[in-house]
Amino acid sequence: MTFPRLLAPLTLLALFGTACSDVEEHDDGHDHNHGQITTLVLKFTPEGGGDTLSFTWADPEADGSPIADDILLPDASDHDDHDAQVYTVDIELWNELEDPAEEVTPDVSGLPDEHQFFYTGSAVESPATGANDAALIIQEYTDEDPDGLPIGLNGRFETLAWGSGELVVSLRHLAYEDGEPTKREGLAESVAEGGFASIPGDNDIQATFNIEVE
Amino acid sequence: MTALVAPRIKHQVPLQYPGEALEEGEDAKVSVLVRVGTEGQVLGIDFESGPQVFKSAALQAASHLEFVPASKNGRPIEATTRVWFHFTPPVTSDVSSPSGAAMVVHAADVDRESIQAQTTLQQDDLDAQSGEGLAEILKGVPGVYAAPTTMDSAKPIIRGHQERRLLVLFDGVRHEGQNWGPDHPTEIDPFSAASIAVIRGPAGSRYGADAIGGVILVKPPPLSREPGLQGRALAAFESNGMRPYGAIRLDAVPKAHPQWSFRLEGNGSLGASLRAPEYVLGNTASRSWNLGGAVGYHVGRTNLEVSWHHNDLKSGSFYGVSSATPAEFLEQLELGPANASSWEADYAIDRAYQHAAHDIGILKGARSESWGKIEARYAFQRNHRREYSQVRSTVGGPQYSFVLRTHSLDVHLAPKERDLGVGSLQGGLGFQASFQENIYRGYSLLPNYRSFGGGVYWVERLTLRRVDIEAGARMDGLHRSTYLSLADFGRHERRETLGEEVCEVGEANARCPDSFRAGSVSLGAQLHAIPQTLDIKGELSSTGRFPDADELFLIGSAPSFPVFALGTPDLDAERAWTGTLTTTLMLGWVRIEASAFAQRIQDYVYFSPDLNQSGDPRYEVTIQGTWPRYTYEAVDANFYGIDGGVSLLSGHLVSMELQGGLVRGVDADSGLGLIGIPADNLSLTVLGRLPPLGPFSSPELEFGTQWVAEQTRVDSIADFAPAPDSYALLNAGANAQLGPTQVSVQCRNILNAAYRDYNSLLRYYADQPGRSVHVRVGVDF
Repeated sequence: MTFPRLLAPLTLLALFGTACSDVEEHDDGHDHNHGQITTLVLKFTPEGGGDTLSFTWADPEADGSPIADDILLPDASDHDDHDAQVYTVDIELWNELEDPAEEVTPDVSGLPDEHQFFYTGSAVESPATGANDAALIIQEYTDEDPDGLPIGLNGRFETLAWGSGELVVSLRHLAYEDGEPTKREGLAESVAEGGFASIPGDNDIQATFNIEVE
Repeated sequence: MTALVAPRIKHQVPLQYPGEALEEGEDAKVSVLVRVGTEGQVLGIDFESGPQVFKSAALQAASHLEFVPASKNGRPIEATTRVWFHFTPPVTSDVSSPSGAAMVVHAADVDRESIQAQTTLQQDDLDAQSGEGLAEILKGVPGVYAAPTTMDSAKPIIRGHQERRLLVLFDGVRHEGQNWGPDHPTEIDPFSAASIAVIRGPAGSRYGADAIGGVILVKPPPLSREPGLQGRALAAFESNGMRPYGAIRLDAVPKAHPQWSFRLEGNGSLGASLRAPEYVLGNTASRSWNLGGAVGYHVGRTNLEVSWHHNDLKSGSFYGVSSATPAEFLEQLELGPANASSWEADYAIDRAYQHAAHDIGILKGARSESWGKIEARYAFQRNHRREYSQVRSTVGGPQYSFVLRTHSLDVHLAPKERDLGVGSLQGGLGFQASFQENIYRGYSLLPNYRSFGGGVYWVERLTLRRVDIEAGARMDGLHRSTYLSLADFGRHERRETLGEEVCEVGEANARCPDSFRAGSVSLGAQLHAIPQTLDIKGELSSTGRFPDADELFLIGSAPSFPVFALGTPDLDAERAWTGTLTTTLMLGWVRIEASAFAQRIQDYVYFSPDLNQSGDPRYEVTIQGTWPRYTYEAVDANFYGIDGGVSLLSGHLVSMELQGGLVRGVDADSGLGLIGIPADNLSLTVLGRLPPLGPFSSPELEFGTQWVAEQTRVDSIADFAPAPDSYALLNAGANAQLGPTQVSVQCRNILNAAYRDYNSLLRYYADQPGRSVHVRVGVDF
């Protein structure tokens, strides 16, 4: 075969190999956005009966234009002083980039050894804050993974005083490293001592709510 | 770091004007490539260019040349040099017995002859760093720096300019990759090169837009024309990362069909996670392999060649890189990596990692005619980069996938040198055209686009007795249609950065067209003030650069930085005005080269914090936390500096080389330093040559130190973290020849010093890798 004859099929291959363009197509993230979290819903159910209160933090377009509810928590008082009210808190997670919206909560609850929620902020006392004299609510974990470590998808919140402040809900993704889990005992206490930089993992969520106990 | 001195001709040789050329009686300039040995002897000759009628006479003359050998750090080395023969017809009417013609012959040191500040790394330099990436190899050149990523890789910086303002040409073809990311190393395999030349400073009038900061010319070795099988093999091992590396190249020319040449080459390496002095850099393991081949056909004055190269790199990203809020980011700077004690230096690659594959196929042809030479190259490149983020184990696939396809055509005409009586004129003109498509799939970040671009240029060089003058001009244009998803268009529209007045909104996407044009001009001169002793050269130039698609349309959280990044769709082309002055002094015992430059870039696209009217950063609130908003802003920027080196006692038993660079980059309006400008640096190398030791010939010992200052000239608001402290590293090495085999052992960072480098992406999270011993063996056959 002479050289020009060799070149002809190569040239054709190069041209036809790119003839069909996918530049103008967009998958709008359908293959890639799976599992992203855009929306966090906190559901407060009062112990002893009463309506469940839902508060949402949502950035449905994931473009930095969020809508966050203010959390208004009644205490148990029917007079001029505070009476503690205990709430059971359940968390729902959604991905509104998908149509219809995809619930991501099972992705997190199904991988409890890779996730833990932390509750911090000026209005909170929790394992991740340590003692906080200005706290309006106190949080305790009520769920745990198979290793007995807390998850935080469910919790117990008790009001401590009237007032307003901030509640920061953080979901840490604690991926395995070198085949070993990075989630371990005492992570919340490490956050209390050294902040989130002192523990492994990435933030899947770090959402701030204004909270008022009344 | 290296001080490479090209071979020099000791004596002129008589040149016979060929009888068969007398009828035409033309003047001719002929080049011959001469391989010069360590004793200055001629090892091989290869006719390169010029009329065929002079070939025999030129080769005969070249075979009788004697040289002062080339040297590296004072050590004589083998090197190939280009020798020019000027044939002028004898002044005689007796054509039957031509006399020795008047002639000029000189060995061209390509770097010295270049009007720009240029340094070429030859085969020996590349072999001495076999297994390293492109940026690591180039950082031995003054004014060139390596910017390590959070993986086992680095990107080159030339005179303060990152890769988007540099042009990389592989075998004459513009390398097209996703070069905008700070953690995307250049997909070039240094083993496929016979030489890599670095032009420090703009070369826009020849190479076009993008060549604002510099040009990297990667040249593969020419295909063999000697019948038979030849080759080279290299093996290396690096202790930090426990990385074995192997490479082989085979060149074959069938004896029955010597017009055909064949090449097959490949290499691979496997690296474990690297170790910093105090901890393992978890998940920095990597795997790379490269494969290439070429077929050449040459007959008469025509050469045709088709080649293909595949570059493949899978590289883990350091575990310590996490999406953290600014406060958390600053906390981890104080604390160090959170989980370091559990990381292992193994070969496993975990999420997050990158997998980049680059294919380049080139079809090129060249033909010499009586009027000169024409060269043409068609190339197709496909760059596929996949980035796998640290996601839940139930989520698969890459979270960022980029495919960049590029077709290009380059045609260059080089008319024969013209004699003007007082001197000669030589140059060339040509055009370049390209068609490119970018297809992105993944988290909201980058749009798709399709572009047509091209340029025409003309460069001429006037050579007088002691002065060379070079001038060039080029015009480039680019039309790009960017296709944004409707979701991304909506995000821009809500921010009022894009609207339907500039984009056509369809059912599937929004098409946003852009057109750019930019001219480049240059005028330079070289004065051989004292021939063979003092050269002075300088150039003034103006060149442009078109904004990249990410600079216009990027939107999303950056995977490597704690920022929310936003493109600016109405950016204009950058315009750079540059002046350079380079002086070379060569005495018997000292060689000094210093190159100074000053550059003003109008509408310099600067990635910086978006500030409010009070001068405070604006923030974006996302569900992952609150992030500072960074945008691409057009500012006027000034760059200036000096780089070069001093070589002492080259060729003696003990020789020394001092080399350094200083570069400044400031926002002209605010006077504040730009982020990412390399810190001042200096290196000293001392080389001692020893008598033969047993079976080892030409043994030598090398000691060096490298000092890098703290970068104090930086806008503290713009950067994510304070600049790290200055540092100094000690290195040592030994080289020798064992029969046909070159053996070397080098130890870097002997004291295992913990340090962070200002230009390293890793410096925001961890120390640089520590001590490493490199063993290399190479043989030609």
